Amino acid sequence: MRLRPNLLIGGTLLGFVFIVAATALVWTPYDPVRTNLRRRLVPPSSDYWLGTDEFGRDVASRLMEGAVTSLTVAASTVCVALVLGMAIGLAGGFLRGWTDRILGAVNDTLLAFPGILLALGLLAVLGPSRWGIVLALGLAYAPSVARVVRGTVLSIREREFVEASRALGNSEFYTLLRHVLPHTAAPVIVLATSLFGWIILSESALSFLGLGVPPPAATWGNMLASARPFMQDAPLLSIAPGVMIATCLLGVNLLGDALRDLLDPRDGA
Amino acid sequence: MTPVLEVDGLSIAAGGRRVVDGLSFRIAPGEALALVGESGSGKSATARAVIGLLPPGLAPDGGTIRFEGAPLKAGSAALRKLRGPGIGMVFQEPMTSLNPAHRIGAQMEEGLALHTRLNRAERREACIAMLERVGITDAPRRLEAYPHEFSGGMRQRIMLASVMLLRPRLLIADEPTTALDSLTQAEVMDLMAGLAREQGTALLLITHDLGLVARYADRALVMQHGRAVEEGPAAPLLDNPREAYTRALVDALPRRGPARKVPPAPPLIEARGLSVTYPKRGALFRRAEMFQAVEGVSLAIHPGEVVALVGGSGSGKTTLGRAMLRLVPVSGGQLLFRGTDVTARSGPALLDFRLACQIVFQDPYSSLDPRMRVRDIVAEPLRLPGGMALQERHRRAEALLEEVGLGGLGTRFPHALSGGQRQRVAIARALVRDPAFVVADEAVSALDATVRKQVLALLREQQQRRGFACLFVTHDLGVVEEIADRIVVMQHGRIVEEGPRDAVLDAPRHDYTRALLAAALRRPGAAA
Repeated sequence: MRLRPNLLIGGTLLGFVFIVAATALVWTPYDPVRTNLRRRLVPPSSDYWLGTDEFGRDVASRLMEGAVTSLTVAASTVCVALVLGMAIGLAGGFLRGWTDRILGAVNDTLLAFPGILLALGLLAVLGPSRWGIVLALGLAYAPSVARVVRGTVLSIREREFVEASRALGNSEFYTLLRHVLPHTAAPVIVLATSLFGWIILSESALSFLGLGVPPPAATWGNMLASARPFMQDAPLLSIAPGVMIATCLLGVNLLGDALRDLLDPRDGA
Repeated sequence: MTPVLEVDGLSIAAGGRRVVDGLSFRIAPGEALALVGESGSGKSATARAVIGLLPPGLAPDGGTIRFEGAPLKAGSAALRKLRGPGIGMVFQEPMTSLNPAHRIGAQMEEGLALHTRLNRAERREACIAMLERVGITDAPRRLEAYPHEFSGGMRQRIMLASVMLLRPRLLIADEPTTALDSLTQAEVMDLMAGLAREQGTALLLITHDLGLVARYADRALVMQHGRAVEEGPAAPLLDNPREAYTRALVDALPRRGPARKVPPAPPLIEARGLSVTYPKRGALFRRAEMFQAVEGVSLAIHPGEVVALVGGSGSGKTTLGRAMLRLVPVSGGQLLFRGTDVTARSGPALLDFRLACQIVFQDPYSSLDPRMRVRDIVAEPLRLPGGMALQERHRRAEALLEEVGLGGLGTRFPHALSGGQRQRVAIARALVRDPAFVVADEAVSALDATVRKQVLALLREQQQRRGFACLFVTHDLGVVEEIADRIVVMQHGRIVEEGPRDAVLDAPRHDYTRALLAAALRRPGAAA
């Protein structure tokens, strides 16, 4: 198999982010939540690699801690959205009829709300917490997954190999799992990687509004949000989480592309 | 007289390989030349090189092409001016060669607007006249229609009309009727030959089907691996081929086998007054209109018998074939399998019936799951009877693959196989459980003539060895000649004629059967 540059680069970028997060679990240079008001907005030095923020907290430590939070929140949210969306999409696309009409109507209604607005409403009910965000954003993004899955299923179920599976005597459920589900992998992976990006950004937007992961816990999103007033004096405060978000998104996207190619037998064999 | 087209030593390269190698031929004004060969012989590449539209990856690699004495250069402005009024082209796939986003009137006018000085009203008039000429009724209204409102045969006529509007001196037709059923094919080809004669247009017909050559070409050039094998006047060349390859192609035309006696036995599967209705597209909350695809058909198939179900597109033959396997819902009548009623069975009770019946589909490109390896595809049916270990299933699949001539290819994916090989996989999948009844739905219609011959031979050999009953659904009476014991002809959802093969072919009683027979492309010289 030839070497794929997107697999290599994507793997390296995402690997870097994961190593940072894994390190943060056991060690950070300083306690990421301990404030020190005498050392506010210190520029980078050998003591504080990336300087300190407006409360004198070490930016490098917070960035590492943020990697853990952001990655867990984003990954769990993507999982929730995928599971929900695929269940709805598969059921609607394969069963069609009234099931599809009802699921489709509900789905389209949800799709009509901007995801962030829907999450806002849900969070107002659930109250700001880490798992509240996962649930709210997962519900908000599930309809777009459902849409993509349903469309793919509708086109795949008309193909003759699906009918052939029926003619063999396979049950509908088996046919769905064995012959239809695998074909949704390519579009779903592409969608999941971009969802990952949107979710990190949505989480930061929610944090900005005070509905995200509650402070003082660090996420890239709330670091970015709180760095805004100091953009002139301490640009590194916003650049650092921004670079991490960009690195992570680029890695996920490249890896997603590579994964999709690898999973397609037409290329792999 | 200057030839319309003069190709001299043409070579076309794909990567390092030559797909066309030193090919020379010429076409006189008004003459019809057929380029004949199997898939991959370079015939389509040659046609595309003439009009300067080689697909990416192919590049000319020497040789000259002259049109009415003047050399043609790919990409030159002169060639662009010639496309249309000088050289017209009709493509194979009528479903995709018209732009679905534009009305057909606009598409037909395009060429006239570009190449003539006619004004709007004159162009419209010319289009209407041409549409009427190709047999599209109600032409003025039809100009406003979109391609999807027409059937495949009608689209191909519209395509032909828009090309012939410009009265080209040379018409290139690349497998123009391969995607059509045999009745429609005959209509479109007759029309094309007629128009070419009227306008004095020379014809370059690209085809894999020698039947077409016999009927529509003056001369034929047989190609293999990018080289000319044999060239000459069409009739003598087909009657008396000099080269072995040409003879193989001629032999691939259907030939009637000896009549067999099927031992009398109670019917294996029997349809009694079977009806199938489909809802036409209806709107939300409104009851959809029903379309009757099969109307009260009764048909009994005996063990070990091969019954050919013949009819044009829309005759209901495919629906009947699927209804007999309970793959489409039956709306009336009864289906009996080994004497018991299976019409209303479902779930586990239906499994017995499913295990005993199989189907081979027309299109081997869509009937195999592209994400499964060939061995897994063939082994899958063995999962259901239960109690067979995975290794045993794989072993059986490999053995059957060997038997159908695909030994050692079990770990490939379908995309790495040719069309004929894929159809063999589909046949193996249908046979691996030793079914009592197999429906072959246009199983060889999508294949080249020589490959068709091989796949038919495989099907017949397996049928004789395993003794399953077979319902062979097809639009082509020629294919039927090879394999059928009995022929059933369907039109508008009803059976119009039924009888032993020789009786139906030699003394058809119904007009529709006679029309099908006339359109069937058969061995040149064979009694029609």
